[in-house]
Amino acid sequence: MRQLVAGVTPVLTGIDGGRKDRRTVLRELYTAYGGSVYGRCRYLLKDASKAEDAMQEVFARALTHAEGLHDESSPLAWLMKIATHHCLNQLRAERAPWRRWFERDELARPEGDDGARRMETRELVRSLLSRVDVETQAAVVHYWVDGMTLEEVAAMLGRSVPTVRKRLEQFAALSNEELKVP
Amino acid sequence: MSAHLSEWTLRRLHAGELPGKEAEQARAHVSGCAECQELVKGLEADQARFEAQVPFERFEAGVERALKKPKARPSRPLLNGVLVAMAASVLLVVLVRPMLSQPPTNRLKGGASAELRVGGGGPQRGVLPGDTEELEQGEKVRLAYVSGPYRYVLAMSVDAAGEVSELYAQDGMSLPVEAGPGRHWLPDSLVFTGSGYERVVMVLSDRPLSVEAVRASARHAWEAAGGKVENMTTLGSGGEETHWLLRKP
Ligand SMILES: [Zn+2]
Repeated sequence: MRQLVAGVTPVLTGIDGGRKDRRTVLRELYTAYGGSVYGRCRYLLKDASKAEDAMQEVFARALTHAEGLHDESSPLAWLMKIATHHCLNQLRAERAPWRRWFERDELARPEGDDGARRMETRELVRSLLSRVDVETQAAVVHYWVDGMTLEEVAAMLGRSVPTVRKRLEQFAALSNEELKVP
Repeated sequence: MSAHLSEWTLRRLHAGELPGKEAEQARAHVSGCAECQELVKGLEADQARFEAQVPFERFEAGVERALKKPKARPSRPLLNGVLVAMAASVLLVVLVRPMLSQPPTNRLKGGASAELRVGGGGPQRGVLPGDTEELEQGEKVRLAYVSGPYRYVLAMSVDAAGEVSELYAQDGMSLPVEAGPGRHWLPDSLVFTGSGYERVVMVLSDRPLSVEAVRASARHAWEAAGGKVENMTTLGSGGEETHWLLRKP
């Protein structure tokens, strides 16, 4: 975290268990990242209370690793990665009936504007997640749901751009090229 | 008008973590672009909805509860198509019959050391740091350390194609070392899939290292070694590195 909002850096730096410090840090995290992390957990777990539990775990880890988080150039990337990883693992551990779990929700299929199209894409992505390995799952979610560029996904996962592209293209094939990577 | 910003960039802008100059440029673009503005508004609405649904006090209490829960096990080796974690029971083969004749490992600062042991196929054996060892089909590898003055441990590997894998880490960071002066075995053993070289590296450090940062520097180191994993001498992790080079059957 070489570059972070002025207000956050000193707080994260100063955290060492003091109850008041922790509260301030938590509030900063809540305001800047809460909606994003919660959104990720809801998207994958499809359940408000499970999502809330998962989100709490993610922020608890953020506090435990405040030192590490401090070194990240993007705490958002760190948090979203941990959240995605956590939820995908949880689903596997619960032996969630993947196929059924991720089947496309027929109810919400709006059409028209951009927002609706994005929702549609997210639904489609989720419906196909169970068919691929865990690393492809993560790449797909960061690319299609977080809106990262290929380069950003590659940097986050420590893979080369061609590797990430190949995984996304394999995934696109499952969607009859509806999720074509430009 | 300049090209649209990636949605991810807008997310970072919204979270307030874009560096100064980038943030300035991003804001300038958004102020003149209806489409990007729409996206930012969506992010603001998501945050507002979240705050309405989960008030801060409840959030805080939940995180505190999560902090009090017992620590999760360290992460198992990832299934990147490179590695397979074995069930603990299988590994006991390696664990319960340490080879007494094996000379000790390398010595690092303050009595710290790192050890790699191979077993499960041919004869059990330790591999000296810096050595190259041929693995037989089905052989497994275990790692151990004596932490000495170090507080964190991380294990990574690099294969012949330059793919960097996390072997032992927790939540994307180094693991805190186990308490106690003796040798500590990392849980489970590793089976390396594929063929060719696999460089295994244990990194002891005073501060937790980020897996992603080490991954990136390892990737650079691999490139600097001409794409030859066998020629690498460092991951550039910044910690105390111990290397072993394995040759998969
Ligand atoms: Zn725009």
